[in-house]
Amino acid sequence: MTEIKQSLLKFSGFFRMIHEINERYKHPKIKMTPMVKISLLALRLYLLFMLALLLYKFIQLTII
Amino acid sequence: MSIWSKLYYYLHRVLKFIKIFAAVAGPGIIVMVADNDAGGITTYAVTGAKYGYSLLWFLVLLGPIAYCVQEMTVRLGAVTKRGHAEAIFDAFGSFWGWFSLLDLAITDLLTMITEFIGMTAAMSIFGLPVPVTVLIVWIIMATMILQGRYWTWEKIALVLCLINLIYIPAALLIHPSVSDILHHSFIPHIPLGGFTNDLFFLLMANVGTTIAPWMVFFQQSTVVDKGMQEKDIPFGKIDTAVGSLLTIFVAVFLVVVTGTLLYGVQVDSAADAAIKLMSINPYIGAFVAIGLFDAGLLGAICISLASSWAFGEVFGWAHSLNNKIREAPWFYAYYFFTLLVAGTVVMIPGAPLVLITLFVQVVATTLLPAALVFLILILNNEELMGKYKNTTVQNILNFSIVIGLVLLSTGYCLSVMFPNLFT
Repeated sequence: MTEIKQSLLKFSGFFRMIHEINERYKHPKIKMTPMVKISLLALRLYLLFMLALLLYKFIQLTII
Repeated sequence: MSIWSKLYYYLHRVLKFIKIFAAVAGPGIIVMVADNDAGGITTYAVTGAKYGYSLLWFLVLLGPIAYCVQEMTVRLGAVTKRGHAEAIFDAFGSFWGWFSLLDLAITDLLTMITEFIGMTAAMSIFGLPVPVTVLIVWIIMATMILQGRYWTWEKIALVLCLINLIYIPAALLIHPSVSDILHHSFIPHIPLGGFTNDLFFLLMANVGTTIAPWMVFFQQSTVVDKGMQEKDIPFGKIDTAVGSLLTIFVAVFLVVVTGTLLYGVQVDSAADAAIKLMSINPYIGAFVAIGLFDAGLLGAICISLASSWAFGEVFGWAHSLNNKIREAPWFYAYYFFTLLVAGTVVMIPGAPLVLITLFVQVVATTLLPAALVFLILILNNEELMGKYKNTTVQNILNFSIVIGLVLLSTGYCLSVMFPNLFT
């Protein structure tokens, strides 16, 4: 019982650590110039495209 | 001042320069030579067998491109004293930070498996069973970091870099035509048969193997762990330039070997090339196999450290090779975790190794644009970089390189996912 409790405590510690990291880096420190905004938008679109391709491939391999 | 005094003064300056360079050099050479990992060696072996010397000019062209990208990590690391993962979290917030970190972790773990595939394939040529090779690799990689000193690790890594040059004597043994090599290296041309899908695939594969996302993370973390200062940046740049020269040497000489002896022969991998070379010349076959093992080992060492450093930076764990295991337990735990997982996967009978190898390309392609774009954007932040920020010329050059790399690596990824797309 004590071991399970300790494991749960360790896990909660891990999640707390992630929460702290999220808080620490909540706001981007880089100055949001037009170049930065356009680059981040392009990256988002690129990743969505890649994600869509991966999903399509996954469906193609498993269902079709 | 007499001529002897002038000569003494000049020699003193040269010696001083060499001394400082020897102290600063390391990260650039290691990352660039490690870039020719097991996957890279396979790509070069296949390139030579399929197109002979015809694509040497393309490999030569990739050297300066790799230099331009990696040089930015030297400046960023030396100025901010932060690794790339931490720099992304800090500049772009937690969303992009977690995306980069987790993508890096997955890419690195999968790439580690491909390094183990390369190493075990190379050693099986000498009759060594897979578990024995894995055990040997585990012992070497553990020994390298257990002494808790960055310098010792770096010296061992540099020795491995030196062994990677084994393709040079291998090429010299077959007495290739120097004029042919020079002609194909410096005069760009499309090989016989024109611009086919196969050629496009191989060009993209060569690009994909020359610039990998882990390299950006690795070199920046190494620069920080080594303690390089702003004054060391010029030496760091020379170090990177020497490294890019060596990486091209390795690529060119291996293409010369397979392009001379295996031209027109179907080659599927570097191990396959080594086996076929054994029947032509046992020494050259053995050299290629040793080089493949060394490339896999060097790649595995750098890739596992790239992830460990990244996690250490973000989670705030002690994350230096100068720390003993008890001082940085999580840093080393992650290093051993990737090592054990990759080695174990290779030993599983019937593991989907081909699928893993292909999947690496897909995952790496999602991370590469982000890592490179973040690098350039941070390098343009005057508040952070001061006088070391990118100049207009560097921006034009680097943005062109990044756009080109993203297009080619995406094309490669697409052709891996949909093999009939470009036919």
